[in-house]
Amino acid sequence: MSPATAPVRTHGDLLLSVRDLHVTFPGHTRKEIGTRAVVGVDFDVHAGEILALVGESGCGKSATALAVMGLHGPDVKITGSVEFDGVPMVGRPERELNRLRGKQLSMIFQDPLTALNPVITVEKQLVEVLMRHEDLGRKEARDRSVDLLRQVGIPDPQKRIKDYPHQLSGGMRQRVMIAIAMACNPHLLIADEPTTALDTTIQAEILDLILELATERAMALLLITHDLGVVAQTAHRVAVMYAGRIVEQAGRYEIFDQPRHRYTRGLLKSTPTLVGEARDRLDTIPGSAFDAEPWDQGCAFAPRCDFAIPACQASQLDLVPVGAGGEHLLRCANPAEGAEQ
Amino acid sequence: MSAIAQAPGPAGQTGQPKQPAKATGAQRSAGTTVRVIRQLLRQPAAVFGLAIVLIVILVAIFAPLLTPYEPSSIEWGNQITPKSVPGPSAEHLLGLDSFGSDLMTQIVYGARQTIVVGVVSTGIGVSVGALLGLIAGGIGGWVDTAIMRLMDIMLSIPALLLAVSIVSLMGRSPMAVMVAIGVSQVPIFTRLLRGSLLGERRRDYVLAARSLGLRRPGIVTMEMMPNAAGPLIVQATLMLATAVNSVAALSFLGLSTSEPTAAEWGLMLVKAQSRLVSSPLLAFAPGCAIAITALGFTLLGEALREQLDPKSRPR
Repeated sequence: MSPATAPVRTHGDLLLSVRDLHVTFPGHTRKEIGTRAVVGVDFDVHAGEILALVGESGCGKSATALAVMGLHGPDVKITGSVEFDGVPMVGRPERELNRLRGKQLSMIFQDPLTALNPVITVEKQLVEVLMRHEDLGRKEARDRSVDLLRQVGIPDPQKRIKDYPHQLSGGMRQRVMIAIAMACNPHLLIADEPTTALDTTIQAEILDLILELATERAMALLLITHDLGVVAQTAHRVAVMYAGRIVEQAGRYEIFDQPRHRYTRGLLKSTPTLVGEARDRLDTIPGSAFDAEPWDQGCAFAPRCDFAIPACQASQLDLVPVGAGGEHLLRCANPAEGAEQ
Repeated sequence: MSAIAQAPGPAGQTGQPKQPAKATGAQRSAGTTVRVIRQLLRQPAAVFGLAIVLIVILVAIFAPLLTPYEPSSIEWGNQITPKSVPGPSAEHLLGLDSFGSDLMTQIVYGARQTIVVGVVSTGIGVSVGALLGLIAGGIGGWVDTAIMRLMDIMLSIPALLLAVSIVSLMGRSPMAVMVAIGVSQVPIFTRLLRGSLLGERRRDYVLAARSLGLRRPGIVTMEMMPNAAGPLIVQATLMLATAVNSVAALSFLGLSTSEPTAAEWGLMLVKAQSRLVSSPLLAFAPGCAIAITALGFTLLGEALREQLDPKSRPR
């Protein structure tokens, strides 16, 4: 499309680097500290790579994503650094962020019904983005829109482009959302629970579509999900978040075959599976993740952890490499051994 | 979209297939409007209101065809006595007024003045109000505060008093009346649109639009405005009813014209005052005209509100 405007990026170059990211939502009163959604997150995404950010609801996945996009409101306090393509995103003026968003990095939201504007046609929503970022006339933008709809697998795009979002099925809507997000070939695509709001039957289709398009265009993908099934199919690397921090990070196979963090293990055990012996009940992790001041007294997961030892409470827990290669990172005082599970 | 849409239509609409045939692109883009109108036509109150409004508008447009006389003509002045005015006759369906003009003609031409002044003033109210609301809700911050405090001040003055002061500043003229009524409506529309824009701000599509790098003014006008405008349309229709009353009130107070024989419903009420006992028809006719017109707009507005505002939609 427009390779001339962007530097050619080789596979594996550092694209997004997040360091010590904190996101704090304001409290109800001025004295109240507020909710600490993200409490020091570090991760990298390289060009063409798929990183999955996994965790249960409220663990700070979406808050992290919004911070990367610079989409938090002015009352949300963000510290730490987010560098996209070598340029800092935190504290960057809105005007400059707007030039990047939708063009260099863009985002797919969970529920396409609410994320698409209900009173504007698909055509207008696509054309708007294309005309904003690409040097296109209305007619060219329209043609490109039809093309994009075809690429995301919408049948009869000439006709559907005139539709309003409510006239499309859930799967079609998410396809439109994907078309809009990918309209300008961003280098990084953030997909925030892209299949959660969809019918089980079409989840796989949509996921495949995102993967296919991302691979085809050498896009990096930050996939946010609580669905380990999704992760298993897609990610190159997986980062598991708990209470606003990454507790374990490793390659896809490593995470599934040799999880070291007790929380990761719990997550994997509580995922239904069709292979292996049938169990009456899924394993659950006792307790809930609610904690007003996570990580102030050691590991935030310790209260729910069967393997908690005194060291969990006392020590300053860092995300450190374990095993060979230094690719597997862990934040745990009493990790599981690699082999047993 | 709702149970109402699926409800079988009145008997007159049978013969149509229940599901409308696949709409073409052009039809589909007007889908919401068509749906709203179709549902409106199923409500007796809405049809009644719409009928009244249409009749008044038609009367206003075709006034010269409906009556052979001139509205301000006083050629029958010699038939007026201090004690009585001639009542209905074949020549004058509603009789004559106290100046010797044909009452019917005055009512018919009065519709013109009422509709024109009402529509123009509400137009001023909506457009200025919406613009201010858009600025306040779209920009926020101190601009928002400044505009909204100004609106609070305007709202704290009774609308009629505000209108009267504006007319007395501008001098008596129909134009002054339009501006006066329009200005007194501005704060209502400003608050309405601002509130509705603030509600839109938190919706996901706004976040999604920002994530695509669309600029804020564009998001406010192109994305949020169409979502927020529904209540504005409803309120405008309802305000037309208020405007009809205000037009009458201002001309009753003698603020719209210095011409005693002008065809204005409010003015006719004033002239009827002195003969209220002997010739009640003189007051009754314009009074009914005002009430019926206002009723028509109110019924239509309420029905529109029910269609466009999901919260008040029955069931």
